[in-house]
Amino acid sequence: MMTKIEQPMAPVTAGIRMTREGETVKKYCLFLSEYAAWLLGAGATCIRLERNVKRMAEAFDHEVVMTIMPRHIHMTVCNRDRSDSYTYITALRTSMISFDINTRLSELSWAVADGRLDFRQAEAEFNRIVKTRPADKRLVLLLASCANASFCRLFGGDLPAMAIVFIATLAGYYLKQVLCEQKVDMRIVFIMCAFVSSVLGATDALFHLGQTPEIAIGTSVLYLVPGIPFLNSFSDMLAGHYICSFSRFMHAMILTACLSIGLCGGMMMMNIGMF
Amino acid sequence: MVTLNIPLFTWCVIAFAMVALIIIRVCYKNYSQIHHQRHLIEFGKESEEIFIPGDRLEGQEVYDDED
Repeated sequence: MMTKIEQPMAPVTAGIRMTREGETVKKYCLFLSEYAAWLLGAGATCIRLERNVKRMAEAFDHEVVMTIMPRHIHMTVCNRDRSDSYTYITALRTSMISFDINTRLSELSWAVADGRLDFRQAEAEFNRIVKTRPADKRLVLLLASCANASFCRLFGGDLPAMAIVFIATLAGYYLKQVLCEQKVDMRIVFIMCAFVSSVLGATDALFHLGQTPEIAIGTSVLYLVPGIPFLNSFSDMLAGHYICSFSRFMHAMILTACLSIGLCGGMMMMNIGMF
Repeated sequence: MVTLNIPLFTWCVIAFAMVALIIIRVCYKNYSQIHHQRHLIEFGKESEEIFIPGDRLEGQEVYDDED
């Protein structure tokens, strides 16, 4: 005689079906939505977001379906037998692009998938990650200036050009930090910073200090180029997320246009180049 | 007749503006730290402007005092 072994049903409390860990579908959905909003705001691509969220949902024994819009995420989480589901719409967290937060959130998804963290531990770790303080502004300022000066060298600039690019980037990036603190529109910030950097980058041409003045002017505004939105845009296009791809591409194009306006304005005032 | 050298003039304006911005922000931050975030200009209380030893301090309540 065969004995039929039945799996115990998940307990039902006040009409809400709980999971084995005692969590509701709603809690999973809210957590995953918050996670997705932070990950996308930190500069992740849509494909990374989809994989991370699906990985964690599978670890929680649930299924997830998402619609990723440029500024919002629509998420539906349901249990395996589709008896319960929850839908939530969340807005993107408008935070600075942070590879640190991006990486740590991805590590969190792997930790959950590998069973090293349960839901409550994942929530606690997530809250810890999103409270990460940004990098020291002065250090970022110094390193960005060094990087831009290195770019100048890579493009064939001499030592005076490198020094001028370092100072021009220092001034332009510092102005960018000040204006961002004052919540000035990013497009105005790009125009002003590109103008300041290009004017200071033209020191070489104005005072005849080195042999490569045109390289100094050209590389003095490189720190403003929106590389991450362009790269993410192409990545989203390859993954089939055309709305996000187009949105990111337009955002990058607008910032590049503002950069160009500032650079052309600076070159025009300094009587350099094509004018 | 002096002709205005626009590139040099522009360069000087931008350079001095950036130097002034940096100096003002550094001074403001130092001032804020020393004076615990007080404003440069503010309306003070009368007791802070004129104080004679023996005056009642803020928060002191003397119920049997007749003014």
